[in-house]
Amino acid sequence: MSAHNPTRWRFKRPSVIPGFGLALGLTLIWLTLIVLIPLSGLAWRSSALGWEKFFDIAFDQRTLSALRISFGCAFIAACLNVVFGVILAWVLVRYRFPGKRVIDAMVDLPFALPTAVAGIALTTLYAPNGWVGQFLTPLGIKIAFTPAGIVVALIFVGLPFIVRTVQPVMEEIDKEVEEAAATLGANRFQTIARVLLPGLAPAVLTGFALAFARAVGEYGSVIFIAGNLPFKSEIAPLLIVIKLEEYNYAAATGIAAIMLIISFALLLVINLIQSWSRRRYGYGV
Amino acid sequence: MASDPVSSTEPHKLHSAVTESKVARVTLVAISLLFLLLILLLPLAAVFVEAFRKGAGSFFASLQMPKPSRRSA
Repeated sequence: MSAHNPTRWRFKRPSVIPGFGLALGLTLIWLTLIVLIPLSGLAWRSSALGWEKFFDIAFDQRTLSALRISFGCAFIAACLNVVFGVILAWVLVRYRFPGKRVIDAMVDLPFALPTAVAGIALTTLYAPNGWVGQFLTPLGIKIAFTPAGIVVALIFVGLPFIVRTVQPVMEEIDKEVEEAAATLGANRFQTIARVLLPGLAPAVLTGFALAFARAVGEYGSVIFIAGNLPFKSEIAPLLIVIKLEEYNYAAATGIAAIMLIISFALLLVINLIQSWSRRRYGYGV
Repeated sequence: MASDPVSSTEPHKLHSAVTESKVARVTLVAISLLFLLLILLLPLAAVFVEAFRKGAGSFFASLQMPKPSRRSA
């Protein structure tokens, strides 16, 4: 109706993005309530410490080793998850084998299972007298109650993130790309390594970042399998809980703030790599 | 195209250019199944074995709260 005579009727010109103001307002309010206010509360509580005490907590040997264990184990677990998760996603997308649908459905179970249950189950499995542990103990491999156990638990909680981010992108790959590579003389390995994997890199990085971030903050499943020896297998979230139980809220928020800063820096770096690789290789952009 | 070597009398083994060799496929499936077994299947199995350790009766008994009042009535 408005198209006939825009000068006389003076309808408001429709925006390219209708409802932009409302949507932006709602998004910002939601984000503020859920993320920004709790995070600024964290910063405010830890600022009550003062710089000197903050650095005392930050460079305390116990804090440092807990942070090293948390971030180190999360990194190793996310790397292993990338390797096996990409293989698993590839197998689920491309091959046909008995039980495929069941396995595909099962990948999501770590999301649904309470992490404490997962932790207890993994501990009974990998303890020196457990189903798997009894075969590893004679070989001198200890998994439960060591950092290796932490890695196992973090692999468990992180797996669906990788598989579920990579899988849909793999399904979108055009077979023509692979055919073109083959006609140009690439063998299968070259096609995968030089053509398919670079295109999957942004999705893999997203999955890595999600699994890593989840693993850094993971508490429930880890505390059962870790053994929680200070300096050896004590994760930073547990240290925060210990400080809270001592009513030392300032120290707890201090450690939390340090974790947050490191996590944010790492995720920022991952995002930068991601946007770079998306510009360089990504599908569909 | 009678002189084409591919369509000669001897059956030529053709394999798709957009999938891996049989060996590679079986290996990849085996790797992912083994990984899933160790990380996902066995823990889930352990949960069920622990739950039913003392039989299905005690499993269902632990699901419901005991009601002492009904017994005394």
